[in-house]
Amino acid sequence: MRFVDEFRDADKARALAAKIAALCEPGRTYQFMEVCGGHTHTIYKHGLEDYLPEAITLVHGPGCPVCVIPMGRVDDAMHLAANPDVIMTSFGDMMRVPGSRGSFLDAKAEGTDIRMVYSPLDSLKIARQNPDKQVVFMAIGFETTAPSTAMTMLRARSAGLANFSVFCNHVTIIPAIKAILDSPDLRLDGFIGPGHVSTVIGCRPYEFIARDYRRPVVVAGFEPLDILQSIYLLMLQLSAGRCAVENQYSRVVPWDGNVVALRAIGQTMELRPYFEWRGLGVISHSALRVRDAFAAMDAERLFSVPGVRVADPKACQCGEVLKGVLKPWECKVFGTACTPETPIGTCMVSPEGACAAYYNYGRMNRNRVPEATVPAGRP
Amino acid sequence: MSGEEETFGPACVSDHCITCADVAVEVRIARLLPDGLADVDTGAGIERVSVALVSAAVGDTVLVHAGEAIAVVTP
Ligand code: SF4
Repeated sequence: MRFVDEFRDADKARALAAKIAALCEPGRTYQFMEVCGGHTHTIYKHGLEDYLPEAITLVHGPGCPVCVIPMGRVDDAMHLAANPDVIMTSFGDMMRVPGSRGSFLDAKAEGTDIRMVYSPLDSLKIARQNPDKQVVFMAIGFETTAPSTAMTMLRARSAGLANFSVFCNHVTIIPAIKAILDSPDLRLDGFIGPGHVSTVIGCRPYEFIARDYRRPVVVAGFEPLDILQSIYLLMLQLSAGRCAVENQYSRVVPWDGNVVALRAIGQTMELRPYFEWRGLGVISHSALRVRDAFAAMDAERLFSVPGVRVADPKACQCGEVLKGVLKPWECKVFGTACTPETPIGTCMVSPEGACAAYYNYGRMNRNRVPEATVPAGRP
Repeated sequence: MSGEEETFGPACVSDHCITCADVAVEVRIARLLPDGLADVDTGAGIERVSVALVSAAVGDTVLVHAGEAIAVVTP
């Protein structure tokens, strides 16, 4: 564990643990959601829960784009990829997401032309090399990835490339957070706000959470100390009876986001009236589609996609995990039928999915540091 | 599949997945190129990424997500 290797960090972490514990009101419990899968990964990898008192629970949110892709969209993408005129291109983690008839990887093994790329720019290159094929980029991700897709579309247009298109599955984080806040299953005391999404959208879009729902939000970085510091800031707000949006990650996140990137997204994409999220159901205005002006680059218009809704496998409890209602290990197939090698549900696919993060690093027993004990007998 | 897996984007430099959720990688700009592209030093080698959406100079650290720099990291 990193803290052991770098003991000064461990010292800082313990100091923060003590400060957090000191702010816990005796008898009160606290539930904070880390919206972003990157935070989930850091929390499990570094055993951050060991630095938190028992009274604080971290709930893992829906911020892993692979995990929220519903099965029907995977099936639609497989349908596109099966077209002999198409070369499908996809990020690596998307390759393993199971649809109802297997994953991209399975289809690739059977001879479908699906290629893994690290960036949509790679798809452009493949398009240039294969002028007789239509190269479709399987676009997924939150506002962190949407700028990359947008810039690639703008580049394709200025290069006059006619054989590049996008199967757009970009989603937006705010409606998902709102759906969780409106969900009756969950009582949350505050949010650890997504770091990198916020470099693009800024901190303002979270203001409604503090204003209308009276919950504090702290936009957090990805180092273990960033997350502990953010939990400390949340606790400070709660103990002072405040709720505001704060930016712990100001070394990277500008309060107003990246205006140029937002403009590029706005030029190429627009909100869909509704989109289905795995586990959260249909959420209105929660995803992006290609704008009319770029219709020639919209794979959904160039090819017909079946667009059927497919129910998740019966055994799968990803929905509950994504909403934070169930802990990963409470799913009946966790670690038995569902593992990172043979995922049944999406949360097992990406290392940022709560199930995979827990499977890889999880320990059933916490080894809480002594500093994380709430001081007893306070007046 | 020679050549076709050659990439622009940063290699997966950590065990985070590069596409996913909210994680991007910090890299240093080594050389600015035409068309809003740049060669960046990932610590593990030089990669080509787009810097069209940020205003950054050689030597700056930028946050790259899926081959696109989305923010400049202030030192
Ligand atoms: S263990 Fe598998 S099926 Fe169960 S919630 Fe996690 S990813 Fe979904």
